[in-house]
Amino acid sequence: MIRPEEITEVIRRQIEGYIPKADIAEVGNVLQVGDGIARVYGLSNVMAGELLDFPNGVRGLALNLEHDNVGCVLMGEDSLVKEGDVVRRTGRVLDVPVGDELIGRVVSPLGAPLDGKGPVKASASRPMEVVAPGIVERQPVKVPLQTGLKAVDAIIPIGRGQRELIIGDRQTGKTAIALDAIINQKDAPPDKRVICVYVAIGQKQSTVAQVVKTLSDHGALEYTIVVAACASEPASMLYMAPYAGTSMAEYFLWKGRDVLIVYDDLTKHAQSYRQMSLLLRRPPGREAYPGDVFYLHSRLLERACRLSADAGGGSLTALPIIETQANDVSAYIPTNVISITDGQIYLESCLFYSGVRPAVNVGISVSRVGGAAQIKAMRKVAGRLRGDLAQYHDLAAFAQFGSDLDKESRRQLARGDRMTELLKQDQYSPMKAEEQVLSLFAGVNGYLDDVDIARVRPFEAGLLKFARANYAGVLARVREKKEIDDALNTELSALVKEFRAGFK
Amino acid sequence: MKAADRILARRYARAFVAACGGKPRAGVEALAAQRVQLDGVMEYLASPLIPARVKSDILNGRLPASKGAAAFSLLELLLSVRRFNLLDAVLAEAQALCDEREGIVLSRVVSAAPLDGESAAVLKRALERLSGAKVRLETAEDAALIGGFTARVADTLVDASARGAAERLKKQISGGVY
Repeated sequence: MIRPEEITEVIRRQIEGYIPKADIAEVGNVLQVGDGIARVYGLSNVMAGELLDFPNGVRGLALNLEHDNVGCVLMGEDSLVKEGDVVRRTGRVLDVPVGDELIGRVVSPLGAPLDGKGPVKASASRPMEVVAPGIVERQPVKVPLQTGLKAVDAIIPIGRGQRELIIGDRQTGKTAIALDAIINQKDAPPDKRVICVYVAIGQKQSTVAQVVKTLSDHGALEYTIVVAACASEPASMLYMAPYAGTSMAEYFLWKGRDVLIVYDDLTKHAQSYRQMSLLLRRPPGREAYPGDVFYLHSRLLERACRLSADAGGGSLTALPIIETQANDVSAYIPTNVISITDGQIYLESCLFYSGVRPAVNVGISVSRVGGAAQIKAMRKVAGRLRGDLAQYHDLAAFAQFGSDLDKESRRQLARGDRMTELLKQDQYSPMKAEEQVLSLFAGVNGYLDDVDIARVRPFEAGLLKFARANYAGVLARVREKKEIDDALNTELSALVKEFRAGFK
Repeated sequence: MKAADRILARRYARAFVAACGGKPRAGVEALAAQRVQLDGVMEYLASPLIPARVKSDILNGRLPASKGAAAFSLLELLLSVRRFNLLDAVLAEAQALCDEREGIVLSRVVSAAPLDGESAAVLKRALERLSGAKVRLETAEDAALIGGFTARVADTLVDASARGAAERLKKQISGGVY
């Protein structure tokens, strides 16, 4: 607790010890200001991306270095800046506070607290824009990042250091998948736990408050940093938010920790950059986005990596989110981010409204590098799942035209129906890897084929409860060995058979 | 002034200085003298409501002996292209261009109390050392500085005022806490 006299004492010492010196600064004058943009005359030696001091505590970022003036975006109220005001160079690029003190806090992209828990006394700072680690500093993605969602961990596995896009229309559960992945990290020991950063870009304040409450209710806020640039803030803040969040995450990355960062969402980030670029009179291109909108996201997502052992062995896994309009993934920003990332999780509103939740379209969702990171046990049970489900969807479409199907086709349909049902999962209820393995083991080995579809989820819940109560050792062996050998296969079969015999 | 106006003013100034041949300073001084003679009619000459013919008559009436000179030609040009509102900016830019050619920089010094001759001379020498060029001082007073002075040379601002020192102390005390 800080006592008032301590503050006074500190101030008195600083005043007594202060030696006034002339301050020499490079300055310019505001020519015009409006729409969050200022044009400044002077500042002849300013650097691109340099932080500028405007009057009344407003800060700006020099983005356009032109012949006669400097185009800046303001990171504050433009009404506090007027024509003729003196603008000072700071000589430094934009940086953000970083450190352990940020964990559990909700902060703005500049590191200012938004949660009413007092100032963030950060121990260090890092530049907002950093060049991504090079090839030498990296190693291949080979350690899984469990999201706790069967549909993702079994079919579209994500590795630590991977960039996996979550894409879909509004209200299809994109944020829910990301939050599930964050909540699922809770059970790891604190020193090995994945640190999470959730970056909210252009969202309603009520939505961010809901996310923070969800994380807090599930005990996930204690290892999460929330960086929020809400819809009411200037475009410059929305533009900076993902870079600021990444810098905060990189502090832990370079300390050898595993970090998960969620960008929710990059569509609004691109829109904020479009707004800034148009106001700075940069030439518009496709969909009025500037020419460098690809670089905007590629340089951000390139910062996700798995570092080599020499560099500390940390990882930064990125889950960018893109919102599509009417499932149109061929729009400019979705295609850009699809091409940058290492895979996509497609969510579809028709699946969502037909009760398939998470509404993942497993047919077109992919993970380009995560397969190598999947644990062997999961690979064994889920290996055939993608192909089987693809065949099921083809057959289901064909079966709509006639009822005379051979026995094998009927069996495939029955299996597909049950596997689809089995992949459904409640929101904010992530599952442990060994329980996912047991659940899928029962499904792919046909133990659910004669269970009524409506009873599949009660069967699964009962099976897991039964295993936890009576076969905790088997689950522990799956967790520790991470693969299913013949002995374990026999034990799992016996477990499921025993439960099925008593299931009503 | 809008950024576009400043850019335009600089273009006119550059063209005017070039049109003055080998004696740009004389041309700029002539333009400055003509500008003084136009005091009181500037509003009319810049107004879009007054016909060009009337404006031309006013100009000829005020500056009968200046016809043919580069400065007068510039005034006529600004009238014809309806840019007379830029005259002051063009003049300032032309003066800055001449100063630049002669290695002179303008320094605006604002002090809390009036500067005596000796202080001004010391300050001028210090500013010449800082900028590496000849300095022409322009002085003004502002009691809000409390004490000391500020001097601006091109893009460099030297703040040796008591107000500036207090602001820096305030920043130092609050620094590091977000």
